[in-house]
Amino acid sequence: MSKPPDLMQGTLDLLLLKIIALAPQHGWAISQRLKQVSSQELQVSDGSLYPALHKLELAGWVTAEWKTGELGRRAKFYTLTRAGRRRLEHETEHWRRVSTAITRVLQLKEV
Amino acid sequence: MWRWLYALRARLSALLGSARSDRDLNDELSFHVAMQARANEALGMSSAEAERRARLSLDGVLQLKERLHEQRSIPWFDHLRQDVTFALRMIFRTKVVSLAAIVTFALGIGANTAIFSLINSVLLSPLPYDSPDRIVTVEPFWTNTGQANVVSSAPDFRDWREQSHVFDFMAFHAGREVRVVSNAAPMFASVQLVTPDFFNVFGVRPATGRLWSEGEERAPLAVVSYAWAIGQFGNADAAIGKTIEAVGQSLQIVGVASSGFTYPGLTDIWAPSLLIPVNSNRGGHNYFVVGRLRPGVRLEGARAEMRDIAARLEKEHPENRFKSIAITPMRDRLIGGAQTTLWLLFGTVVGVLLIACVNVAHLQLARSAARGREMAVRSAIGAGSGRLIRQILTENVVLGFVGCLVGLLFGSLTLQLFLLIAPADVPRLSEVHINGRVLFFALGVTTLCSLLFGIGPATRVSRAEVSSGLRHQATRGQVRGTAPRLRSTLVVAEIALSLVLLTASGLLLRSFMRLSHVDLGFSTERVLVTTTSYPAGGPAATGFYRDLIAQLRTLPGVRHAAGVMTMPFDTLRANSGYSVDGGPTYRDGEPLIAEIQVVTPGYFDTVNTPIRSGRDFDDSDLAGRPQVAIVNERLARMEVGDGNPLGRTIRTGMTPESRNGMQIIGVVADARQRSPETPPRPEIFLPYLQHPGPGSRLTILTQTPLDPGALTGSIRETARKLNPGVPIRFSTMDEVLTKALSYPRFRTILVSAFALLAVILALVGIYSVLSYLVAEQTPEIGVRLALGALRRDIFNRVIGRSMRLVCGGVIVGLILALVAAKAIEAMLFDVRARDPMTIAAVIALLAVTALTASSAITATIVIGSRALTSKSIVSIAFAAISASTSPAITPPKTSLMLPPITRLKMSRRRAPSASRTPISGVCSATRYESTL
Repeated sequence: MSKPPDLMQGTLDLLLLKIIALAPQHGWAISQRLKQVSSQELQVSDGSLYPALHKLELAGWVTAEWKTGELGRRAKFYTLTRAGRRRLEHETEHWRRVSTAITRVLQLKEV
Repeated sequence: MWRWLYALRARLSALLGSARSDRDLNDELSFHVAMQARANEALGMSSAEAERRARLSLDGVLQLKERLHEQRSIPWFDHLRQDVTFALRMIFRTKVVSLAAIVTFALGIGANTAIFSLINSVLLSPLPYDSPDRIVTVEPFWTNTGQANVVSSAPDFRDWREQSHVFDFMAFHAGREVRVVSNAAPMFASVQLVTPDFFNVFGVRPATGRLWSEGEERAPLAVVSYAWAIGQFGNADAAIGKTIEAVGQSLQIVGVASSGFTYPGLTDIWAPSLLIPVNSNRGGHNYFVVGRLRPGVRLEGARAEMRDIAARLEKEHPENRFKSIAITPMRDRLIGGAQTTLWLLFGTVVGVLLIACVNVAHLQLARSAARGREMAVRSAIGAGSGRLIRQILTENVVLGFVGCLVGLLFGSLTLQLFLLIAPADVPRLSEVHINGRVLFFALGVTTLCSLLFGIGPATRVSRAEVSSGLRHQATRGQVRGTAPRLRSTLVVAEIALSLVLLTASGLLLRSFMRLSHVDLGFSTERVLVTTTSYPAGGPAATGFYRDLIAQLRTLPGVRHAAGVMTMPFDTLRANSGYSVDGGPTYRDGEPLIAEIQVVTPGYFDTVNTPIRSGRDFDDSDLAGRPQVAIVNERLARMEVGDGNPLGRTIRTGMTPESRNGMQIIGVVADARQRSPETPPRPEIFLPYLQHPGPGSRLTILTQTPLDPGALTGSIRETARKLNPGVPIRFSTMDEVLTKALSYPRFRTILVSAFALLAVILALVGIYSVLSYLVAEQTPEIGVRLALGALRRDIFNRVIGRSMRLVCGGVIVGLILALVAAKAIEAMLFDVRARDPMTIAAVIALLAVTALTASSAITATIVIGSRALTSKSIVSIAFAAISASTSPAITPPKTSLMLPPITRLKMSRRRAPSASRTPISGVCSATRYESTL
């Protein structure tokens, strides 16, 4: 398993919120989706995934429900709340601003 | 906003359903592992390999779980829960020690709870009336003697009421237990005649019906108390409209007072004041005056105004000379008497609690000594000393709370017991129960005490070093270094406290013994007391009693029978000024006042009061015959010195007939009429046939060689034949005396019981502390014995040490006891506060018991010393070896490397005196051992 890039804590939250926004799903599915979509670029170690998910739950941005998942076992499904959706929008906007600014700095021509 | 709700829900569910949330975490993670394993298998791994890799991907699962768990919960709450669980587990593991601590503490808390309930309800709670601090009593007091009277006269009352502006309402009341007919049955009831504003003074509202008003002072109405209405008619509404007969008239019940109001005392019926002619003599003080101050009026202002009014009246009426007015808040009047007793009891139980706390502190200290290693291990794996101290304090608080629960149980049982033996006239006794404030007090005290007995172990823990704790293994069982000075202080404190309590108890006991055997001047044995109340005053009543007593004399079993107006020890007494041979009514600025007593012939024989000279009244002293009187020795001595008072004339203001001179025909011995504690006052006896007024309500006394109870049937029959409408109640003089002594008895019993409890606790404490002290010296004793020390010497050494502690305790205790004794001096009868006999006895008792305890302990240790000798030698050798390998301590190695046995053998051959000469090598071993 390749080492995942260093993600700022806030960025991880943003990614998780976005993935959960697409559809309510459990922890394993979230980590798989993330890997898929980013073509293996972004891999979250499962040791960071669950603490981050629980922090989101405690903050009230997602809410969790126990349903029967694959394999016939019970699994915890996370859903975005309304506040979570607002947070997602806010953080996305913030990310866009920051990345634009970084790109502009990097585009400076070397003399 | 919703965000917070989701957040809160998540946290709470984690907190409250912690087992479930743990399971959830497990499920979530194991689901993840299962999914990953399946994905791995799909990639072609074997199922075992797939599983293993899946698990690995969840790195540090345990720490993950821990982190997740910690994320979810509120940390300090979790720690608290941990500590409490651990504390409870520890309590159950060391059942015996914990039980001892809990029971000890429970006894202390229980006693305190019971007494505090009494104090709370009687002294601290406000009176159950509207704005009770506005209610006052108004009394006359004489500026020349500084004496106050509790009763006032009717003309004075009227003037005060008219002229004052500081009162909203003012009223008077007077009455007692008289015959009442209700539901066609004659009975005794407590009746008070009151003026219309009486109920307004207290802010009483009727439970049903109405109260009477201005203009109805003469109306044949009555208001009854709630309890009486229920007792007579079943419920309050049924009482309205019913007719009762009281004070010689037919009264209609128009109202029932609100439940709980029975002022004064336990009144059943209130009736308008003018139903009986009011004494219009300004010197006739028969009425209790109460008033309600206007809102905003201060007590001092009211007092000033009343003093001015009194001055004005003094000028207008010569008989009011020197008479001023005093105002007392109702609170002080009602509870004043009980205050000292209750605070004394409180002081006593605080002493008991302190001793209990000392015992528990010592138990905890001893327990903590054995846990040195545990604490060291905890410290080593990362617990900060703050956390350790918090844990120790939590353990103590948990222990304290368990003790508190048990104590509350003890307390409520004890309270029930107190209420049974308490004197009936302790004010507000019916309001006593354990309420919120008492519980709050108990919890507060518990917390304080728990923290107190946690201080010892906690400081010990904070000062201990990890390394020394871990090295404790070498000298298992050694308990040196567990704050010996603290423990000695504890012993001294316990002994001092017990001394104080024992002294107080001893003084009270002695005082009570003196009081119960004081010469009353009359005898109380075998005298039956028959209380009656004739329907009306006047000649019919006197005739009834004359016939009744004559018939009773003929009954078999009756040796003497007589009637008396005022029973001994009755609180309502008649007294009046007097003058002999037309002489002055004042002497040395003080008015001459005598107790007035109306009796039938034969009274003095019935109560065994010797007649010193002259004769008793007889059947020739009738109305219309020359007026006669008998005086007591005290009055005779005061008036005629050693001369003969017989034949002289005496005058009093008591009854119209007594205002004309009466001839003194007899002198009797002094009697303590008011109470066993009060010395006899001058007394004048009048024959009832010559004074039909007061002679209408007599109490009959019959002396019998048999058991007084045997006469009740025949007396009832005789009275019924004469007049069936007269209610009858029986008692004995012994019971009357018992009732008069009830306050001192109550005090003495309780203080002695608590003192006994305290002493037992203290002895247990001293025993355990001393045995601990001795146990820690065991190896040293063993060594000394091995060196040839005599048993006797060891014995003396240990005893000497214990006795030094006991002496210290006795000295401190003596100082405190003398202070305490001075404080209770007022309650002692005929016993000095510094009574040397009591103090000496107490000290001797304590010293002897302490000595016995320490001797017993030492004897057991020393007798079993053979085994100790070898054990201690082994332990020394072991210590020597292990210490030599430790870099921290550098003892003189040479002397230790020599096998100690050689040295010991050498010393044994020497003379026994060698035991007293310390041998340097071995001694350093002993000292050295102690630092381990």
